[in-house]
Amino acid sequence: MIESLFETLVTGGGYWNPIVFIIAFGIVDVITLIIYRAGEGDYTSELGGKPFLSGNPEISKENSHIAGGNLYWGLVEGLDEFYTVMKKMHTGIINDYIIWYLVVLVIVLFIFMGV
Amino acid sequence: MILNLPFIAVAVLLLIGFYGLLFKDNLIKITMSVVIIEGAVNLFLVSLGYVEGAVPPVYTMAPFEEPMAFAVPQALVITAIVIGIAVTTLMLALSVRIYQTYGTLDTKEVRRLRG
Amino acid sequence: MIEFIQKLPLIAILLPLIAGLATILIGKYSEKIRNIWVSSILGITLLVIVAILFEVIRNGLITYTLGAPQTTPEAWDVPVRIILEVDAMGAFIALGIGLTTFLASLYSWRFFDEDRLGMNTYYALLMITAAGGAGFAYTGDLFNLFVFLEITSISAAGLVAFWSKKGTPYEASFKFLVISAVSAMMFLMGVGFIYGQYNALNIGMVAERMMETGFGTLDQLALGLFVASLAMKAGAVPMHMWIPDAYGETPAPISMVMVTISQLSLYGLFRVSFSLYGFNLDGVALGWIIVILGLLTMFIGVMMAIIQKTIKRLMAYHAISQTGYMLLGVGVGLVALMSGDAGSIPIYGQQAMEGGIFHILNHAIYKGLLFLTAGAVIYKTNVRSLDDLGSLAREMPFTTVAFVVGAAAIAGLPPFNGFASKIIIYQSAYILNPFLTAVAMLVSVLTLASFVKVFQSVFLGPKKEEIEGIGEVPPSMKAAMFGLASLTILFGLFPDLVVETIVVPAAEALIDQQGYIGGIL
Repeated sequence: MIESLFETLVTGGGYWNPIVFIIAFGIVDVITLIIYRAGEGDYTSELGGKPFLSGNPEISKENSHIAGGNLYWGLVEGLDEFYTVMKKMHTGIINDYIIWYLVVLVIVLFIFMGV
Repeated sequence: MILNLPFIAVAVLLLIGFYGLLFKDNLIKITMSVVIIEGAVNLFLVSLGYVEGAVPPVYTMAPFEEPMAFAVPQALVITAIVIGIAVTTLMLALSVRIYQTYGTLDTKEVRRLRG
Repeated sequence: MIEFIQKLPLIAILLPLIAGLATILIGKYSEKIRNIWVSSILGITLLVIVAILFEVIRNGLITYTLGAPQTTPEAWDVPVRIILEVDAMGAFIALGIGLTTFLASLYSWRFFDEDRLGMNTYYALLMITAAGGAGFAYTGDLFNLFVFLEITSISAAGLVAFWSKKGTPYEASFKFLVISAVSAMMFLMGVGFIYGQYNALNIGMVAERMMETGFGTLDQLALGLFVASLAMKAGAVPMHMWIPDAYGETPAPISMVMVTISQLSLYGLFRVSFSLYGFNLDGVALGWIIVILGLLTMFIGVMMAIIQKTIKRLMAYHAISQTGYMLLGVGVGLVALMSGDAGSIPIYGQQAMEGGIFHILNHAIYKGLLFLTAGAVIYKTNVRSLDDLGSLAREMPFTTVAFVVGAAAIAGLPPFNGFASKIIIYQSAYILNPFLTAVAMLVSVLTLASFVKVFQSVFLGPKKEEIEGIGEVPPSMKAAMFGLASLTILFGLFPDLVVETIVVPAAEALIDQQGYIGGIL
């Protein structure tokens, strides 16, 4: 039974063994730690400079938190036409939910009965 | 049965029920349409059990010559009717609550959850 | 002793049902005794479900006829009465609902602390839902499937409308009820078509008679009705719009239970396609329909999830997207079954089905964990929108760690359990058509993107004054989250053990139609 804890999972085209993954992860961590220890020891965070906000002045630390709705502005603006269509489809009216059900039912019946 | 009349009635009732679900705005009319669809499906199940010239499937003092109608669909329909009562009661209770909190029963207004 | 194990499926259905009705009586005397009663009964049900699972894996099918000692009477050859037929797939699916109702009852001890009104009815409905779910998974009869589907949906609709401050849960519950009533009625119409032709309601009996007489037009009509109705209850796009409403407005433990209820409808779809129709589906495009539904569901679910602004609605859209993975996995298996020789299946088809079925269990675990952490955040701060939260990691470290585990699992990062099932789906779907794997990987990346968004805006950030000193959640809620997080990590570290023991028998039982028929005849 103990061997079956460490066996590899056979997927459709390959193998996956999480224990080997964790051991490899640990080895890479150890190497990273050795390189980290070989650096300078007297670094504090004021030496790094202020954050860059596209040239705008930083008001205060508490006001610089980006709210959740604004976080992916670039993605949503870029896919604007797609999202307009999507938002118009998701109306929230119960009649539209049943219309979609009937559309899928008719399409599935046409595919099966071959008319 | 003459001209398969029960099955034509099932089709007409289904059309009326789905028309009400798709195009009517009031929540009470949507509840009524669901009840009509339930009635159509129950009628379909009962009329499946009919045999030409049948007597009701009662064992006591049953006549010998005539065939008996099938008893299983009648049991299925009793269960389905009771389930329909539970669904209708819950939908009407929710309509009362929606009217108390939203102030309207129009499906185009009862759509605060959208997007 | 052997006969007692054969009677266990009935106990798993009746015990929560009767105890749930007794809960209202006990609740009038004392609250603490009622809480302990509910959690222990649901815990015993979970143990019974696990015992049935291991018994079925070791010894094959269990059949239990309600009211008679054997399935067919002595003089005839026809099975009579309602028969519960438990194969490995049914026992596997019941595991999900047993686990989530037990953890929901633990979590609800302290979740409703604001106004504890009507908690007796809440616990009674929760136990009736558990009984209905177990019945759905164990039954072998088409009309019984309809009855248990309706029992589960009506109790869940009552639970959705349970806790309402501004009226939106009533609207969500009304929509859920209309959807489930229409789909159940159309399912019953399909059952009527099948009964009218074959004069039998037992799934194995109908499959046997359909193999003798062939696959006619009425069977195609019934199959179309079954597929559309069960796919709507499971949440396939484009009929998915009720899911964000219903999952987003319920209390958090009930969202976790509703995830497993939708997975039960998915199980119903697989049972109808594999065990009822199975062989007769030669050349019919059902497998490709399920694959295309799966692709659409994955993609549209995650694209709509990125723009949401409320935590629970965002997680509900992700639940839709992950359902697409399960449809894709089993759909690839169905296509492989139809294209191989009679009775055998190419190896990639069985691997894809194992991936899809393993994903069902993994999804119940990590999606439940995510909903419970969202519930913990809402319990402490009373704020639901993502725009107003921030920097909760300073005050609630346990919830933060649980959220990170859940988010890493849903995004498919190794070594958690999401990655194990996703890699099986990726690699077996690649052999059928590489486009499927490309879409699946893109969806995985977008899932990670939207959970990074939630993590940054809810847990990270500079300190806000409104959340000073709110502290951590109570221990009963922490226990439920800890149980799910440890299952996530354990299933991720030892995936082969879980797949070989539980998932492979379920996939084989689904493919093996003759074994299912032989269980009752």
